[in-house]
Amino acid sequence: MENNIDTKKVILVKYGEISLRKGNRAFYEHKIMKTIRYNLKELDSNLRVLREQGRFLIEDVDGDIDTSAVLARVKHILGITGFAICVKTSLRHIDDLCKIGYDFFTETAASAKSFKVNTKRSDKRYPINSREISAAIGDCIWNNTPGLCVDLHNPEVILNVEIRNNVYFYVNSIPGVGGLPYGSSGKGVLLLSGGLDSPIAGYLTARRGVDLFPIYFHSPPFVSERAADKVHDLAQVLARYGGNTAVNVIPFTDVQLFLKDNVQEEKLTIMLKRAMLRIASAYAKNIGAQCLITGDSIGQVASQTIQSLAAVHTAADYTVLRPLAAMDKQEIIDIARDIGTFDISTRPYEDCCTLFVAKHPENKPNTNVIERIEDKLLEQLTPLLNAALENAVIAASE
Amino acid sequence: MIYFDNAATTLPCAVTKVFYNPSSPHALGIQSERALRDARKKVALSLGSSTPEEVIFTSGGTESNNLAILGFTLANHKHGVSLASAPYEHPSILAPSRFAKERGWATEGSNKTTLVSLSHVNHETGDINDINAMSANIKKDNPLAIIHVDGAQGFCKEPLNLHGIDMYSFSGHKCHGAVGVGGLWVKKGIRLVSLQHGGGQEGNLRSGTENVAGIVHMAEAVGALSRDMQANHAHVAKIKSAILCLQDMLPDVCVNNLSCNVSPYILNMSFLGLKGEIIVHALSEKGVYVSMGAACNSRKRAPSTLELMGFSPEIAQSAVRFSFSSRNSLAEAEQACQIVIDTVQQLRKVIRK
Repeated sequence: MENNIDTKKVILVKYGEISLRKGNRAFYEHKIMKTIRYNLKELDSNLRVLREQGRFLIEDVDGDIDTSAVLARVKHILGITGFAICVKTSLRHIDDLCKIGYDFFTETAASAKSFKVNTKRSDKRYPINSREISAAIGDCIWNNTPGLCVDLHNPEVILNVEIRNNVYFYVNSIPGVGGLPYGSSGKGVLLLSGGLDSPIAGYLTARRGVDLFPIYFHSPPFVSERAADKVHDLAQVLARYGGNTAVNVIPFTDVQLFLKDNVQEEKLTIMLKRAMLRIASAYAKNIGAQCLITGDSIGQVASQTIQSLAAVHTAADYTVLRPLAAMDKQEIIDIARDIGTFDISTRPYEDCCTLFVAKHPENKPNTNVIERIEDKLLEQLTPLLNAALENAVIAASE
Repeated sequence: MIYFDNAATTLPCAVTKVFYNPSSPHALGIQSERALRDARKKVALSLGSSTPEEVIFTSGGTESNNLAILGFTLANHKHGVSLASAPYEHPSILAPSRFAKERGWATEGSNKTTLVSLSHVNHETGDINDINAMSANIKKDNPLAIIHVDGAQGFCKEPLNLHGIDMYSFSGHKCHGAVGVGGLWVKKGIRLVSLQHGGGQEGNLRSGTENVAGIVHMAEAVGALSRDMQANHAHVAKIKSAILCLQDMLPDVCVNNLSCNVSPYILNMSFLGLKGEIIVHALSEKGVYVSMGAACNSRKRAPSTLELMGFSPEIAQSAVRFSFSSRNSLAEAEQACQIVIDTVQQLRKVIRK
């Protein structure tokens, strides 16, 4: 870019809510940086991610950063509120800053009619204050650019100058997805199926900082191995937000067959869902998770009416988060397309599970009745549930 | 492991030789050209053709069928071509025919030149078409008809007489060759247009550097198979009848065939009340690899090959395809039989509740 060798193009990363978390701040900062590094590792360039006084700095050790390649990989990271594409300089003398500021302005905002300079002096050792810096750089640009006026209230372009360990200049910032950094809100067990809903439930809770531990209930031979592959691929997508790629695959066939033999057809789905929540709760206890997450959406199918959700709920020992409860299918699909799970979830595979689905499932089950039926079966059911969790295989792809 | 899905692909014999570009002017290229020429002779011999130039090597059965159908249609569409085939043929026959019709290159059933595509052995049920009799019948009424036979499941397995046949497709990997090689036999005088343009290899019908290693390998595999055809046939027939015993040992089993002229290499059997796919998954867990007639999908779907052949949806949904190779043993068949019995009984117990 400029002929001045002391500048280069870098990205400054801004983060929001975590800076309020006194005490744990360093921990969360470290988490975000780790996620940034994880997402950048497949790029060939020699990238560095550093802390820079309330921001993160992503720079290419060998020169200007490839902004589009880097942004494409980090813009979805949770806890980041924005990205600024900057020119960084290690020079600090105000005359140098004026020159660099002028060069940067003519390059990025040449056609602007009005402007102002906004300086943030995080490094208070810098001898002159923010207003004086803005005035000096602004003067230099204004004097050298005919037809440009200064407008402090409604400028077309704001040239931001940040004085930190280095000095940064930028015009635009690109918004991030916000949320809380991954894992800052504790652990949750995500009941992940191959469908559209559960990955979105995972994404939304991950966005509020929940560390996801996906589990999948597998019923061979009634479900194809390809369905399990699909779940692994979905977990990979969620992992881009900082999650665990490993899915805990729980063999569910024995539980399913037992309940099919012992429960009325219309109540089977409710009983199966209760069994899943029981296993998920036991797993949550093992790993120290604090909640379960499901993709239930009110009224979508018979087992998702309010009555059904209530009848299922009492089987869980932990809070069950249902972030999609009040969402429409189309909203869920929009998010799925946005985060890249849609094409995986809709991948065709043969669904043989109709065997366990009644033609007319009950849609207003009575919780007491369901619990009474389950109580009678628990003695036989519990060992099956325990065995399922014991025989679970945590399968990490790659 | 018991592999009874040989109609999908067979296990290739070891490949050892390395080859060069037969068009290269140096000694290595010339050596490769010779190897290619020998392979063509060997394959022609297996087909029962005395003219090796009638064999065009391709990437496999699908390409051969495309070249036969689209290549013929494009070469003759000025005079009008109509395409005919049974609705239950392999997709690599149905799809190019549909493609040609959709673009108006060909029509169905009129008294123009008719290209009839039919399989030697049906991939799903193993039913054998008496291709010579059918050809004679068709040509009696319509002397201009051209007969194209898809031999993917029949080549080197069933006796072949090219009399009355105009084109014959075959696939290497169904005959213990490698995936990615196959061919089309085209009788002298049949005009085709190439679908792939370039260096003019394969008589200008299939440009691209020849896959010499794959072709030589296929020629060897095919040569061995056709040499031992009778013995293999008898051996595989024994394997098939061992599996056919399931009919007597399990209730509600039926064998799905259109006629009684069936290849011993394929056995299509329905276990009524069970979904074929569930049986396939369950057997696969026990190391027995078979395939199913129809994918089981609770949602709306296109009718399966078996349904198109006239079998009921129930039969089609519960169908399982066993397909054998001369390399399978009778012991495997007996073992598989027991595993199938156990599996079906277990599944039925669960599902009949």
